[in-house]
Amino acid sequence: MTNLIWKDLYVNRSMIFIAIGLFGGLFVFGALTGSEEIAAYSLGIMNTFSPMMVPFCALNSAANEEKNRTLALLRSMPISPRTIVASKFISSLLAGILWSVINMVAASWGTRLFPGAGGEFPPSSLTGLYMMALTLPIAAVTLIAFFKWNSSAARTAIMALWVALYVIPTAFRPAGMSMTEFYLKIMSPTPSMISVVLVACLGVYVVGMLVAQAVFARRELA
Amino acid sequence: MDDAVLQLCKISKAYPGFELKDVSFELPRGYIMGLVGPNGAGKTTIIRIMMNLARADSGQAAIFGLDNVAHETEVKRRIGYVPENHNFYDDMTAGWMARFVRQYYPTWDQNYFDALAARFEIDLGKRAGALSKGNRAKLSLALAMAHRPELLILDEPTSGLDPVVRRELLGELLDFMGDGERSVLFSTHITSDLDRVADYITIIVDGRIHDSDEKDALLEKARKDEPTASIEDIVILAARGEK
Repeated sequence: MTNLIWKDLYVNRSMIFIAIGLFGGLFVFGALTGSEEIAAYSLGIMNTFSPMMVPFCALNSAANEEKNRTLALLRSMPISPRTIVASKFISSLLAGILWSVINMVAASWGTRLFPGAGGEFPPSSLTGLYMMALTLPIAAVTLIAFFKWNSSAARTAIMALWVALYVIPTAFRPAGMSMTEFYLKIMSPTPSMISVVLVACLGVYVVGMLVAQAVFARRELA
Repeated sequence: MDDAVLQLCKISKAYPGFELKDVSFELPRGYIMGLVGPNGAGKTTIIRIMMNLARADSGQAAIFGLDNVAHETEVKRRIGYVPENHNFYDDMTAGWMARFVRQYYPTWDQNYFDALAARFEIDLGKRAGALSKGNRAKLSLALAMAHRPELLILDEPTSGLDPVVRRELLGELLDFMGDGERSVLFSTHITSDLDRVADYITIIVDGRIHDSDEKDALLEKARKDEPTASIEDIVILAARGEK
């Protein structure tokens, strides 16, 4: 299992390093020059990557297996289908956790160095974790689609669910509240709201993994 | 056969436009069996069912006396498998592939792998995606053999290879058989390969087993009617629906 997880993280290394490089480079540059604008921009990049990390690591890893046709290679080795599926879920989650930790540290430094950075969305050390958690169900469905069909189905799932992630919450917008107010409210969660979202989304992710394991165990590979 | 490493019993599998019907045969320990038939006869499907990459609609496959689905991981630890298409992580080097694969085989022999890689002239520092077709086949065979499996299953391993590489691979198979405890199932439509290495031949045509016996016994039967009959002649007659 560890071998497979490490392999998936290695495959996704460019995505992780590009995110760290972009954000880190700008953040350090902002800190060195004392520019609050650059620091705010770097924190914006950080928040942009947070919801992308888990679903896109999952998709990238799936696409890589399909490009190389290596699912059949893995299945021909003494590795159970359950382990293959679990490793994809765990490695994507680990990439998300890694990014969330970076996010926490950076947000914590950012608020200390540049108290005004972030404007309407002041950086919070838990924002990254919250945004990552929100996208765990998307990643789970993406991987189910991949293990049931292929990476094209996974891509379609991620696109459809991404739109849904932005549209569906609007159904719960209280009457009289503007869209901006509503999104500000959603994006400024209380710690208890973050805990609830994290536990619920992690639960969906684990259920998704069990479904994908059941699906993949029955799949025939060319 | 008491000491059969591989037993297929009435395996059936239907796809749109193709049906594998009641396939049964056995491979005794210590021998090479050639699974031969025209393109599309069902050779790859049989192998995929053995490797649990496809599920049989009915029938049973036992490898080392164990059900190949219920004991999948245990069985696969003792098998070396070379598929028709040699799939690797193309961005990774051949050496990385070996380090990745070896984690799953407790019996992996690194010295043996290094010796095979040297003999096959595989550049372990080269990306797998940059290897030639022949070198991909050699890498696949080296990876399959390096854990010294009890059963080697090869699906059209020489297909598309030039005669020099084909001869090297077949020679390596004979070396692999050295101690008489190892067995090989080898699917091919190139019957000249079987003349060199096979002890047993199983002929499959249109998803059905036409014959399965020792190579010499099959030739003896065929030569009663045609004194110069070869394996190729037997397969051609079988494909035409003649005896």
